[in-house]
Amino acid sequence: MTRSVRASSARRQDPATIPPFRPASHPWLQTWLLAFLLILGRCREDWFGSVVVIEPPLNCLLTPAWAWSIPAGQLLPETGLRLPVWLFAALAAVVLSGLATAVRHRLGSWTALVAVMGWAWGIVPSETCTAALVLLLVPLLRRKEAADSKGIALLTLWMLVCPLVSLSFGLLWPTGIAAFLLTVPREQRRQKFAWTAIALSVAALGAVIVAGQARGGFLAAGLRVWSGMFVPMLAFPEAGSFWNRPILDLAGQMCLLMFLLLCCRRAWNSSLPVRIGIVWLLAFCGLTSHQALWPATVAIVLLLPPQGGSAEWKSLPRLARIGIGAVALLLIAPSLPTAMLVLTGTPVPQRQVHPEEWPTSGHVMPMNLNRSQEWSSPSLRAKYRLLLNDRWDVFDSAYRSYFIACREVTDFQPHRRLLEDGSWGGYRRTFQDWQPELVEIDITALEQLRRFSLSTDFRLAGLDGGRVLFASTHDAAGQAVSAMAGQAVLQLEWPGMAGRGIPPNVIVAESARDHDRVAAALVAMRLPVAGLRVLRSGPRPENFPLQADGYLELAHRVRQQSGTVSLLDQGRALARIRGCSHDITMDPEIVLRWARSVAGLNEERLARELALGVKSRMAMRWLHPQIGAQVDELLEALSSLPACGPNAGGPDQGATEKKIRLLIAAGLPAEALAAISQQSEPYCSYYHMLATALLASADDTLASLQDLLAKEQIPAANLAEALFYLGCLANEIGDPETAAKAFLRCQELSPEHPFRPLRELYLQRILGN
Amino acid sequence: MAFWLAVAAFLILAGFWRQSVKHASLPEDQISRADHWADESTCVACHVQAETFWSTGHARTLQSASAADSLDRLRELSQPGLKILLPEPPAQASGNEEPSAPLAIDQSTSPPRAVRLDWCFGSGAHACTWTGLLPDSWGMTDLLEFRWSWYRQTEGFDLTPGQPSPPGPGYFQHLGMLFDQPKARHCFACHASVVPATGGRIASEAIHPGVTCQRCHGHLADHVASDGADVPKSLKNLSREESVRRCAQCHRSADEQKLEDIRPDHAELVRFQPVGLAQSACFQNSPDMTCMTCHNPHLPLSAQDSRGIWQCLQCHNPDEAAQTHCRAGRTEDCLSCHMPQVPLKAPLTFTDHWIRLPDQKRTAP
Repeated sequence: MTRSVRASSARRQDPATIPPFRPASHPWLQTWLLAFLLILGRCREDWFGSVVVIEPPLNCLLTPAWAWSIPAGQLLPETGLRLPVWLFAALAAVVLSGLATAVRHRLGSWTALVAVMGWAWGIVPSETCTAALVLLLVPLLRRKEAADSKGIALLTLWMLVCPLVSLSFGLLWPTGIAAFLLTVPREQRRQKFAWTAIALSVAALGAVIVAGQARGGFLAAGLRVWSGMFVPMLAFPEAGSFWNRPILDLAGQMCLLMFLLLCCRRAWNSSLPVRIGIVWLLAFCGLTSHQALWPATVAIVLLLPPQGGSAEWKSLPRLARIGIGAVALLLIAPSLPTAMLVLTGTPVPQRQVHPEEWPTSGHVMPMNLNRSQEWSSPSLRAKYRLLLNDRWDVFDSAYRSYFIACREVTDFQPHRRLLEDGSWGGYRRTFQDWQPELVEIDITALEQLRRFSLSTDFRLAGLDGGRVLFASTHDAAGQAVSAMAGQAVLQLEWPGMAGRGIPPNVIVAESARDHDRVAAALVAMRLPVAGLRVLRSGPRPENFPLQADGYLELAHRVRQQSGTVSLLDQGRALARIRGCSHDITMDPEIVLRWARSVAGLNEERLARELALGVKSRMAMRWLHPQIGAQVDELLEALSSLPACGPNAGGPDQGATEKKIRLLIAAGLPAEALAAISQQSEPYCSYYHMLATALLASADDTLASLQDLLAKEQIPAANLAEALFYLGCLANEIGDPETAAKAFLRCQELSPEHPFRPLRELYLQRILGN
Repeated sequence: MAFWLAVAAFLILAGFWRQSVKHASLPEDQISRADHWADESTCVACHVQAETFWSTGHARTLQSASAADSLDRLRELSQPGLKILLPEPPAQASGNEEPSAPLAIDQSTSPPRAVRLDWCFGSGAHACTWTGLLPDSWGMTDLLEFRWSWYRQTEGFDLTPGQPSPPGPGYFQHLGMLFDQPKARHCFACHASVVPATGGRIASEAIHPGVTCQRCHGHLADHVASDGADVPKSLKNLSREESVRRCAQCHRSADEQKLEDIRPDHAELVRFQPVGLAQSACFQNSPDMTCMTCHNPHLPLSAQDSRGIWQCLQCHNPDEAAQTHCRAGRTEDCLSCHMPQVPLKAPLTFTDHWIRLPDQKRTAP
């Protein structure tokens, strides 16, 4: 009943009664300021850097001849239209606040606020022109006689301008035409404007077909917003899910989704099938395609029924205004120090590696195409050329072979191998044509990094908080870059006596988040000490997962290279894993990885607990359907795990000492301390120190161990082992002198100790570096 | 109410859409899955080739290290400081004392170092090399290549090719060399027909050892279930390039080699038969010569007609005046001069498939 009343009310609404487009300056300014601050917060990297508003012509290696590029971008073929971030933010805020005003007229102030927050937070610089075009059409739709000959002429002009500046013209055209027709009163629609509509549609379709014939890419570009619904997430991992995103991005997306829902509701109430159909189609497009979400929410403004909220801005409650203002200021706060540095002429700390300063040049292969826009700066374009980028309308057919090549190089499969569909895998032959000089991997893709780091065709060149770059080893420039990076990471892994510093522009981490990411990447690339040294934040519970990964890597290294158990590394790893295994926010894939790793350390019980813990999370089955099978596979493997390999107890130890060692190796400090407290053997102080070390920092453990050694409280049977741990701890905290002394003394004391192979390797590295 | 129902339906539709697009995945390696795998013991019921195939080197190129042949050979291994602890035959096995797979123990160090041997690579026609699988810290599969291999030529053990002498540093120095997961996968990919591997983890228990019927002909469960009505794609229709590439997956392809490595005096090339063959004038000038011209993969090498001269006579028949004839006037045993056996460092000899004049440089290492 209510709906029908509202619907009839909507139908009765005469456009002439709608107040003219005249934004109230004060609320408009508030909206502009909010949008401006949010955009600045979004572009937190560098306010004085630049963003591409109109993209230059495509310059990728695999660009087909038919590819369509925005004609306006061809006026500046090298750079496209780039604006400083602050200027872009100011101009974009003008556009968005203008759109918000239009929304406010139709859906009310609160909806406008939601819309402007979503738009500003999720803004895509290259879509700013799309928003501007929508804004330009709004006054035309609000004219008293919108569909007169002048209106038609203006609409035609608008349609002609669309493809010149925006790639989303395929979205703007049908939306604009539909919105235009919907402004005509219903009774006149059939008589006066049916032919106009048909003529406009036929003209638009004809233009598309003619342009498509002349240049196939135009048609593909026209359909790109719609074809985005079919683009596999493989090509754009960020498109995959709303959930796997940073919380602030998620908040922006939620605003846009809420806005879409409100628009759908409003269209539904209008009871006009055309409006409902198009609005819901746009909403579907935005929901199913991450790339289309922003332009779809902007274009939908044109279709909103001309009724709803009051013409004036409702003043928000003071508390709400203060809250929103505080959030906006909080978002920009992290960037303020950098801005101050720039304004005062002080050098800004480096946030990313700068490949343009390396001697390399040539083709770049980003494995995550969401990052391809980062290679569009003029200085990078001068030296590097992407193989392809995120223009799915152009490269859709190339993505399959591209991502097969990405997978093959990640798996280090250079030679041809037959794939299940009869095509050929292997990357060497493909790379002979593509000649990639740099490969870029997202720094959060840890498993990919781990596998790729074994490649002999590409070596680490540099890493920052966003990506890891690998350089080709097939030319001198790439070798030079990777040699420098190799020196840097080895210096971190084994700080040398020579005290060489870390070369610049290789490992760049500025914020705490970047440090965590770089640390995780180094650990994944089998450089655990380097990772732990980058982390170096002490045993804070929030860093336990990262530290667990590092110590697990070390525990496996010791086990594999010396055939014996490192109580220190294995105990620290397992204690941390136990500490966070019950945290339900832990990524089940990480817990499953730990379970596998722990199984490899013969800790079958903990491995089973971890695997069962993953399995018991019901929500996981829906979010990670493939993990269930992997857990079952692991549990089955655990039931038949052969009793092979060393354990913490040795043949020379008594039952009690063996038990204490097993408890320490299992990462159970409380149980180990309880067992030690019942003994009065000479080894008690040594094992007490080890049990306490499981959750202590490396610095504290080193100090305790040095203290014990100074007091000669370590029994002779454990002395070589203790000295080895001392060397490892000193290496971990970056004290090569103490490390070398400890290893040399251990060597002197027990030349044939099981730790010998690793001790020799560490000594060689420390003395050589 | 209708609106919210519509929204719910709409969101479900969008979710399904996204999921369906999400799972548009890339084709996997042919050997990565055992889907539609047929029991190969049934092939012989209809295909005469299957009677001889199981005695070929391809079919027997990988076996469990606990297989009888493998254990028999390991029993012969005698190296100072090295002990091989063999599992008891199933009938005598008792408790957990005995290993389920052979253990190689290096007794030259204190404490002794040990590694379990899981797989035996090679049919024994030329050599056998043992390997052990070890998980790394992410559960990915590393591979230890045993230091000692068995060679048919000497009927005994010698260093595995590529192993350093004297042994390098590290825990496994006297036991072998440790390789990361890509190498592990490469090894199995050429010695097995199914190698399930996810994220660098090889499911060892699910490996189908040997290059068997379905490695080349595809998985044939439907063919067997339909009593042959479902006919697999014939390999006879493959183009020449495609046919050679199938073999070159393991035996290497010329276009994937570094150009500087392809030279007449590079003796190591004899290990990569398709590379040599592709350099041969015979191959280059022939419209349809493939590996199958001389080899029949369904027969053991000893039973193949690959050493005869009828293949050569197709183009070098002394009775055809227009053809090129042997300068030495020979009319038989072409291979001894034009495709000689080339010894390598290990007690291994390979037939040089670079068919050429004897005076063109062939240098043994």
